[in-house]
Amino acid sequence: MAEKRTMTLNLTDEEMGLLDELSSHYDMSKTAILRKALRMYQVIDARLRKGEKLFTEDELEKKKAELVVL
Amino acid sequence: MRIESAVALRDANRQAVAADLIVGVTVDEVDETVALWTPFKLACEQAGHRSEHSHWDWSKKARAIRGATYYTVAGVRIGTEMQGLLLWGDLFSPTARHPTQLGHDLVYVHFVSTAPWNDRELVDAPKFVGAGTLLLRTAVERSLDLGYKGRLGLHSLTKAEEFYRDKCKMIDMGIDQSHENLRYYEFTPQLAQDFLNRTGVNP
Repeated sequence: MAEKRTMTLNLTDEEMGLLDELSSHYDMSKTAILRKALRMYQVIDARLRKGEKLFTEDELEKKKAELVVL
Repeated sequence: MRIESAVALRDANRQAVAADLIVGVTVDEVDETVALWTPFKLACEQAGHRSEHSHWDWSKKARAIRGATYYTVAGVRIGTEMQGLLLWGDLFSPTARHPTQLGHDLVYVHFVSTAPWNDRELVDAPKFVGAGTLLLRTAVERSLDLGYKGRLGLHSLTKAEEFYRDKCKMIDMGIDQSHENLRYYEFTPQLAQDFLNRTGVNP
């Protein structure tokens, strides 16, 4: 697989808490969570840059809501 | 992402044959593969042998996912001839269903095909063996690399169930009525590691 490089990341307590919670919830390391987040960000950002909008959908309630991205 | 590495398959005499594993097969390479596989497949069909996945259009699939970084086509090639293809998704994919892994990320295998001359549904004596196992190993390794701990899921065609259940020892999670009534199989982290250990030396 692709070679990896190391970096230092400075997070607030709140951000670190969030990362801990996601890491525990998804049974993934903090590094894996951040790599996943980065990949998701890339995909979403590419769509938004093309002028598309981001929606969430509740299939049961048949509701759609636009996520406002500033 | 494109990575090529040296691997080996086995020929009909069980002798190792040097091969290239490609992660990130291009659309052009898929088109070349389809052009290579189609005459053999058609000849088999004229002789009355048809594989369960003969309708799969790999060129169409490759085009549908082009530019989507969360889908990957992997292939194993001997010389210029592709011996098998596998397509996985590793983001925005279905999540694990096994009770001990529920909701966790996994690599989801959408499609796997071996070249028709390696397909036991079409020929009595495959020209090369091990392509499917090698490609599945590659998908498990991707799962490990992403921090998904080897978790992997797939829906199996009927005739491939034996391979996933008995050879790969994936967990049979039963018929999935929401997915063409195909049987769903999954690797937990431990089963994925067992699979890698078992197939590491003699794929």
